[in-house]
Amino acid sequence: MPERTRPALVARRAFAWSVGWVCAAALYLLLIDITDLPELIVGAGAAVLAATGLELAREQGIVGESVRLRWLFRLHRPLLRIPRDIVVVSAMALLALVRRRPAFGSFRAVRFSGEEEEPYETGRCALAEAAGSLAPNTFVVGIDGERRLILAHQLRPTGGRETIDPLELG
Amino acid sequence: MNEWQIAATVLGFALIPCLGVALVAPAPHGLLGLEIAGVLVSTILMLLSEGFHRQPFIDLAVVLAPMALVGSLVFARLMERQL
Amino acid sequence: MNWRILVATVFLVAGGVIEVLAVLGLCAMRDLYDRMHFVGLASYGALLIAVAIVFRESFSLIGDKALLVGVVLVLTGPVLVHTTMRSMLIREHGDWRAAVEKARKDESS
Repeated sequence: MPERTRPALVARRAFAWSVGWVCAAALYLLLIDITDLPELIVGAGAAVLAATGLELAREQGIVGESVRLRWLFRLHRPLLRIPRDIVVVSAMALLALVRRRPAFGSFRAVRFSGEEEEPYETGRCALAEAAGSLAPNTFVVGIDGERRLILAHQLRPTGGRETIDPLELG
Repeated sequence: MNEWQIAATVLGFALIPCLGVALVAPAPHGLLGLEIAGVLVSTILMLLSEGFHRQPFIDLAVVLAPMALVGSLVFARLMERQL
Repeated sequence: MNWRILVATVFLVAGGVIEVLAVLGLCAMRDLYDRMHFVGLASYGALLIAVAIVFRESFSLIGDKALLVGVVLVLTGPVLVHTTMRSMLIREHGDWRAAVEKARKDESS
């Protein structure tokens, strides 16, 4: 990727900061619901702090710029699984009352291959962990980079790789 | 009593088992009791706010939800070290 | 009965039932990692109750904040469970990756 020129970099940072400021100010107004001048001034000040904090975090690569848009194309999969998993986990709670067993769930490790350059690799792992843990029957514990495996715990072990890595990032 | 207050009362009673787990079970299990109790109390505050039409309760819920998360995360990290 | 009150009541009951089931699951399960799933379940109950409040109140101050609390709980629930699960594995085995070997043995047997 070619190096960005300094004015372009400054413009990009200013844009990101402005977006952060608008979002933070909007959240402040939502929480306060008062549009008197003193409140607006305090809100603007709080939004400056929030946007600066966000920009500092973004500079370190903690948030943003590390997720490719095409990875989100399958985002509907974990979302659609939520209602079914709510029913499954609720049923397991009732089942545990009837059948006393030491454990119902188990850990599962499935293949998680592929590699991206940084910071996309961190974003890919974080997104895979978040999407895998969205529905309550499956929680991703982590990604073992050496063995190229993604480890998850399922209360009711079910489905194949797609239940643990629904975005198919690995 | 309206339906919101009834729901808040029911969830208030649901806090008792969480407290029981936190007191009786080993520490890692107790942490889970605390985590669920955090979600329950935030929900109860939302319900009380709607039930009594009092805005301060919902402000408490807005503060409690992230604070309960931070508190639980701190406990979870501390428990890595066999406390 | 107004349809909005009806929908709000349905969401309220559904959310309340899910929260009670989450507490029930916490008490009925014996395994630590099984119990963790009910933290995630409880947060979805909170979201349903927040949606019930929005249906009743529309996007008023209480409705907006209730929705915010519900969304925060749902988004932070998996983070909390993920961190707790890792911490407990580190507590038990010294490294969370120890569970990878166990999972592979379980899957092959």
